[in-house]
Amino acid sequence: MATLTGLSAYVPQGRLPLAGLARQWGAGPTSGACAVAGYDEDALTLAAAAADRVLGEAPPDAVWFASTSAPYLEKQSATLLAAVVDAARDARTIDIGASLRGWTGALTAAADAVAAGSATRALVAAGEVRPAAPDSVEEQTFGDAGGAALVEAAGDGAELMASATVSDTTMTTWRRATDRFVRHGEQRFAMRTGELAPGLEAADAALRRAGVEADDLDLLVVAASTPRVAADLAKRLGTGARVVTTSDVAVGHAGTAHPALLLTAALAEAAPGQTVLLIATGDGADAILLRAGQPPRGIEALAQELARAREVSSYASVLRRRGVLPLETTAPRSSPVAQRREEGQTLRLHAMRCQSCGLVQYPVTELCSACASADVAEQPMARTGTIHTYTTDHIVAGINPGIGESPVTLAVVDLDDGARAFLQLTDHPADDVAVGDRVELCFRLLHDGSEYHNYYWKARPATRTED
Amino acid sequence: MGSIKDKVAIVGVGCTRFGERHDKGADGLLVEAVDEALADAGVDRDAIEAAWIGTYFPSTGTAGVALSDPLRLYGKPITRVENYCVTGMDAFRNACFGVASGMYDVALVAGVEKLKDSGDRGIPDQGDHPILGRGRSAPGGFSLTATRYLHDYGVGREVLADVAVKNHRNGARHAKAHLRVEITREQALAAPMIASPLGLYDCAPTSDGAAAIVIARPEIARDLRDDPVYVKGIALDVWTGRPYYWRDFDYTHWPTTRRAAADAYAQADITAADVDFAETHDCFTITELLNIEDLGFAEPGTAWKMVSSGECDVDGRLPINASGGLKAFGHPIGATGARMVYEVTRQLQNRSEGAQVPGSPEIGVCQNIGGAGGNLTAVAVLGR
Repeated sequence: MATLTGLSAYVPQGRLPLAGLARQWGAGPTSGACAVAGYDEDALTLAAAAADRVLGEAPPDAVWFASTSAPYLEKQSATLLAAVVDAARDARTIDIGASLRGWTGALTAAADAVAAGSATRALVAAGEVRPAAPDSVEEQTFGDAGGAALVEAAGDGAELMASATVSDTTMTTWRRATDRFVRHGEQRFAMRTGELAPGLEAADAALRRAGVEADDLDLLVVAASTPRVAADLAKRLGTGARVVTTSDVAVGHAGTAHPALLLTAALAEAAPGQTVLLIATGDGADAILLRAGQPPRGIEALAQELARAREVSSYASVLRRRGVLPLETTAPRSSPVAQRREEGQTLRLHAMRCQSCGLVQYPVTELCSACASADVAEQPMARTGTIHTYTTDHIVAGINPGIGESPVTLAVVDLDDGARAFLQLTDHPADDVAVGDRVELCFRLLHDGSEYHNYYWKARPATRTED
Repeated sequence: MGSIKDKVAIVGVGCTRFGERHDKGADGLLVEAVDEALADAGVDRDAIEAAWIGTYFPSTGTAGVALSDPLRLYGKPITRVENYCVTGMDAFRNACFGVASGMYDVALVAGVEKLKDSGDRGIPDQGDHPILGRGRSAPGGFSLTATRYLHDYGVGREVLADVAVKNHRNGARHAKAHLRVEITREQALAAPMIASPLGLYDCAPTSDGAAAIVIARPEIARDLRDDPVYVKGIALDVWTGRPYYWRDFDYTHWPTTRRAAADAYAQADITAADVDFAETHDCFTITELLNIEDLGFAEPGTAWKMVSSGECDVDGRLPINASGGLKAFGHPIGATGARMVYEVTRQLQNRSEGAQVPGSPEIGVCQNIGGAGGNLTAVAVLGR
């Protein structure tokens, strides 16, 4: 059928403690935390962070992007993601929106495409910055995350054995085109009718198609609105499998990225040969049966990201990031023309290599900076490097609009391929930077100049273990 | 390459009080500085055959009309010059060639900047690239150098504070300085951080102000005054606007200053040891330390010892920024280079309005850098 040769999830490092929310609103749970995207992150950058981990050297030839909170209503995120992962122009790109089972749907579609031979390396990514109203249940239960899988016909990883889907019209959660925040209906009814029942139907169908008994399951992964749905599903299926669900990953429900997040957590612990059933609810349910093999590429990244968790600076900063608190900013003037012309060095993060003297340099210019040769060519730039010098600037956000949260740390970074870049540093504690620190590059939202999203790369403290 | 030595004489200088000049616009500041320079030279406006005007911000003034209209000086060749913070010095440099060529007997140089009408802090965005290098500021750019200097030489922020203390002490004695208040090392270290490791007192203020210089051919200079000052050497070295992409740029020295100094010294037929005092660019405290080293006054990594030990005080071995420098005198960008020429000229004539360098100095250096990585540097050697 098809194999998940790569699987990863990315969780932004900010945590909003529920105890803090309870203090703000005078009620609510007092333990636990939700993951919240940084001011420079959105659904696309969260997906890109996960995608970066599942891809090896070769780019994908198909890119699916699933989200209910895509950065554009008109303009495809998968196309941007394809550029970020440096895919060729003839890669298939598809956005899937609206449903919480968008990623699982895309995954089965990608598996079909691979099985049919219309794609050979399909990237299936999800990213979600969930819109929760202040002082709501959603604010306590939602989290932000990204996820990605690489689907190939064969290879090391988890084999897709069977899948099934059930659609159901129950009003579980929804957001009209004009709504800012997610709404919900009668919750016990929604769980019973909109999640548990279709989940069981889809699970039964998938097991039946693969000829696997519920008894034989080693892991049951349930992406549902509450842990209660997972417990009920396990009970009704009559399986003794270990259940992995929302409460096992302290992130919150991450929308379309949630199944990817939980599956990554589950497969990180699965032994080769174990049978895993993933159930994702939303407008019915998808069920995907897998057999674990050698660990898919990128699977270890989730634990590394979770280890970086730290509390957000304030609730007000979260409200500002979510656009709840109005923030008067004027972004710099950008140029859609220059954006397209310079896509290589900005979105695709290409460096330039002089064909005459061999110097690898950044950015991409007409002539080599060392020998002024015009014989230059673009190539992917290294994404890890070392800080040569840096500053934490407390005034630039006030002088130059649209920079983001103050203070802004800028670093001169010597990349491992010899290029030098000058980048903002993100995801670091305010005073915890030093000359010689190792950093990795990450794709982020820089500003909204000229009323479009200006994405670029930043540096952040290295997570990956050195090879 | 040739030399400008003794081919141009400075016969009059003028400078406004720097600071928050809410009382005047750029035009009023120009008239104030130019009138002082003309009076100092003992010539009237009709004597001016050509002029160069330096302004950095288009909002201060563009084209030659930025000078012709305020002065009502019509029908003359007037050129506007912009070259980052070297703007005023480069206007002077180009004017020098106009006189040295024999084309003009008397020429006027003026520099002006009006920064305090806007209410902005620092230097606003100038339509930079929307993506590449986004987030830069002037203090942020120079802080990159400070971080690396302190790291490589194993010294702390105190060495920066000592520059600020010295220049504030000098500025407090100058009637035309922007910041006329002495500070202590403790005050400097305790001030709010602007861009680490540079705190508030490590930064020059943004100022309003203008300065003007009247230059003439040496053959007629003695007719105008007894003590003209001569241009002994003048050099400009332009490197890159984006030094932060240069892999071999170590952030502890500026190649442009070293090259411009070598050029200017060669024209003047001197070495760094012959220099009696200098006005160096000190937009930030770290800038002065690097410039002292790159001008050849100290070995790399040792300028801070000179400053902290008092060698660069007005009565020290090599006075640096006796005027208070950009740090305390102020930094109206287009005016700063012209202000340095004004100050060094008056020091050489033993008539500084601030702290006079003792011992009748004979050789003074003005040094101006533009861009936060020593992107370009101008060095002028003046002497009696």
